[in-house]
Amino acid sequence: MNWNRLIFTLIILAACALAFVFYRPLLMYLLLALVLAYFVDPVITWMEYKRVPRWLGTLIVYLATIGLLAWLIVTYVPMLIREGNQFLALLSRTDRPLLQTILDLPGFRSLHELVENLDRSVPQMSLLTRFETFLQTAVTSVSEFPQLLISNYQPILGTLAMVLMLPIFSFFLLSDKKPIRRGMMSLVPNKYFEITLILLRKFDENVGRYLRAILLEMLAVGIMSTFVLSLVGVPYAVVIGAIAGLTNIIPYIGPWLGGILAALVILFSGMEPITILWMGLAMFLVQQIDNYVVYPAIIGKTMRMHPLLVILTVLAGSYFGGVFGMLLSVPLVYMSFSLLTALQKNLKEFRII
Amino acid sequence: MKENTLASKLLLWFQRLLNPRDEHKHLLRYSLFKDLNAHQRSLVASFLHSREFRAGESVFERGYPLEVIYFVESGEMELTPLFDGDASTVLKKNQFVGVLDLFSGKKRLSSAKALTDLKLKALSEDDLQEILTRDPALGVKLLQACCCFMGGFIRDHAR
Repeated sequence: MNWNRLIFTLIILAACALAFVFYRPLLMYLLLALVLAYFVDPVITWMEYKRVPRWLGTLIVYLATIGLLAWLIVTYVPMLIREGNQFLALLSRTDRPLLQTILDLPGFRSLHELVENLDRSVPQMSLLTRFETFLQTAVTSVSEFPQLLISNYQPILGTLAMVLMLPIFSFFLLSDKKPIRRGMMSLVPNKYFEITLILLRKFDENVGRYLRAILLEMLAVGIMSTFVLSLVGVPYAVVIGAIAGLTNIIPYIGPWLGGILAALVILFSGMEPITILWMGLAMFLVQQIDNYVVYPAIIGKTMRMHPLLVILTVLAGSYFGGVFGMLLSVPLVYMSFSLLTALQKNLKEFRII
Repeated sequence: MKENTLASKLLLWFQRLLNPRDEHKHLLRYSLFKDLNAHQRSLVASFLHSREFRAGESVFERGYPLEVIYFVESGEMELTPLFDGDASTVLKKNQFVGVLDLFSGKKRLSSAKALTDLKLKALSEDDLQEILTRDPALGVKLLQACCCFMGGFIRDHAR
């Protein structure tokens, strides 16, 4: 037995374990930065074809994104601040109870009347009491929200700082893609060099294709939702449509989130509750188009997983990593499966197993 | 000015754009790259991986999937046998292996072993595809060089 080699391998393994423990809090952010990098990479590679170096291409994409965000902020933030101020004014009214003020809103008033009628018809279920208790709990939670923000400012600021670091991580992953890859490949033993290249290519193909397909699907659902919400007359259709598109990537659960948000906006903006029904139908139509036209056309046969496995994976993802876990669990499980399949095939071809 | 600041990177890029420096002249020694200009050589070099093998170590075996073309930087490599009944060949500095295999079902036609300590450059097939997509003119030059190489190979075997 070569003792020197064994000791050196053990030292390397110990260093890797220490590095894992040290950088563990950042792993999720690095993973997200990698996802961001995969989204942007085709644009930067295209610019590289035009002889623009990767770092400059990355800088151009970042500046363009910042410009777009600035335009969105200038367009929408004043409106959001105005609405937010009105909402805060509503919360801080002292002349009458907050619950009463909310029940005076036309949407909630109609809903209250409906529940009141139901309660009269079926008094045994005490629906009215339950409805009022639910509203009171919701109002208390909303009133406590600013206090919650203040008392948890440290973790919130910490998370915000990390989220702001994501584009910086991505910048280096994008601009130094080749040196990073070469560096990683230089660590691979000769015996596994070619097989690692094959797996890396497989990973690139799968991840890149899947993420770009998801991005296209998000855009399609976002645009369709905005269009139908505008037709129904829901306020802030663009913002809700964008959120509906974004949350749509959470399989099975995501599509409901945009609808719930739209229903809340309808209730708070004083529209008739029947609008919720029209909105629900419109969003259902969008989901049907997404499920039967957009998803098969864009993602196609990229990912073949049984629906039950998808639901179980999303639930497990939410248990381990919250919302991020839900977002990433399905592609991660799919990627691991396809990589293991490719690994098994190539290990046989290279006569390693 | 520090090398890695944004301003220095911009300055360096402008300087190189106006007056490109040839950092990869050594690639001209390989017959496959002999007609490439400085920009094309720098493009190819950005995709090359460096590998080191000890004397006696196997580089690849016959029948393995073909993933990379190896270019010998230093040392000697024994290639056995290309066709049944052939004698083994020794590849030396500035020679390469894998181009023929590219055209033959993506499987290695021969086995390779390091005779001495060996330094190789490796270009993956996937990266080669990307290079060809990026610079079709480079693709034409490589194709010409490939034809010359295969012509020479066929002539040698016909004798």
